[in-house]
Amino acid sequence: MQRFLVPNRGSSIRLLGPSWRAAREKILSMVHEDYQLMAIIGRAGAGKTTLLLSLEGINDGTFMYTDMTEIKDRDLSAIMSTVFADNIRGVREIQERLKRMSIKGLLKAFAKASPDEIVESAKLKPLETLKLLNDAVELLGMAPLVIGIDEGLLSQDDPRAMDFINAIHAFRNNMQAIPSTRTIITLLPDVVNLISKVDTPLFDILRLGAITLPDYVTREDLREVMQEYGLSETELSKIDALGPLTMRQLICLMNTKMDAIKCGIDTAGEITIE
Amino acid sequence: MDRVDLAYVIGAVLGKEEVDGVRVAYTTYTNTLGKWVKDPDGVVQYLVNIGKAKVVKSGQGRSVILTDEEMMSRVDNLLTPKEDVDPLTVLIEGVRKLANPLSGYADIGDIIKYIEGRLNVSTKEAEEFLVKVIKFHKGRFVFAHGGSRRLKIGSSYYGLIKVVSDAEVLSS
Repeated sequence: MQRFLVPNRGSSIRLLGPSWRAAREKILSMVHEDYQLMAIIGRAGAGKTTLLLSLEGINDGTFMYTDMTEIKDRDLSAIMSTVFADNIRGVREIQERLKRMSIKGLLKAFAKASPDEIVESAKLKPLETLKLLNDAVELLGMAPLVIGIDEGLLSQDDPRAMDFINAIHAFRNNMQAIPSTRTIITLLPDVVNLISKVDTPLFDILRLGAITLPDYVTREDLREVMQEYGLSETELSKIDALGPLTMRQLICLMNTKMDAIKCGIDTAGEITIE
Repeated sequence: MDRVDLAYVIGAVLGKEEVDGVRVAYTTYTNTLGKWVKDPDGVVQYLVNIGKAKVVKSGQGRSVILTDEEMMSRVDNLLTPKEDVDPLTVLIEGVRKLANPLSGYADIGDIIKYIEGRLNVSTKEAEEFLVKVIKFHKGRFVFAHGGSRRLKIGSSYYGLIKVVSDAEVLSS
């Protein structure tokens, strides 16, 4: 049952709920309107990862998804080397195409590099390596290069949060050098709060390209999900009584025959301040 | 309420605010005070002894000046009727005012401070107020992790709060 609650990587994602499809459309329109640093903001279970993965296979451009969950560090080196490592097959295709063109200089070296050399280069010179990839997709007519960074539920209390913020700040500062690159990050609300407190220049840029996912499913989303799972209208009032639900909680209810406790929905009246 | 508190309440009701403190005619003051204490002159003397009042000549008679500003302000607050407020409105206003403009979530620690200031209550009272409003209007708020204070709902801990109607529409 648990597997139904996590996004299915490697296969096409079907977004349920008009609110989530609207979010995808908004992100895609920002990608095409030349926004270079975008953030998908939402609480745990809001569907940030699913939305990011739904960009796989976008019609025009090159999408590279990276999951930082299992990566120890969150600095720029760690992020960029993971982007290259997670998408090495796509990078190899780009290298092959480059080899068929008469290119010189650094791009030629980039085209010839082995996967290990590419990942090592991304680790040692993250922005320079990204610039080469940016230039390659531009040259091959594969732009824009859309990089989706799933930060892996980094919270404000995580000591690596500052490394992550500094890394995103580096993207911000170098946007002009990589004009065909679009970076989309996922953020929990508490990390957004932290950024607003510790890095106002980054916050100011992020707020221009941010999407806040719906924190709970609306009536329309709920109807669509219920229809998809073949539930009747009579179940609607039962779900309503549970209060505002995240999309993950709703999908969990569908898969557990409405077991609120298993789905982590707090129906207990006990509320205290710790 | 002890005799000092009572003396200040009566002073606040009968007296007039001056530079030195709150002044009230001696006889009027002790007559009124005498309704609740057996020895009003003794109470005045006690206030003078502990440095919370002085007795001064005033024309043909005398006046009592209550000099403890902090205590007078506390009594004033006590006598000022509390503004009628709708608890849900107070909380919604606070969350909207303090919410991060990008995420729409406010820190529960900041909200508690907001309630303290808005309702002029202690931290404990503000916390109780917050818990009560959330209990009665749970469907009006959503919660997220983080924040400087933790709210325990069932078995989960949250530190950020957002008003539901603000969460309905996709924002960007």
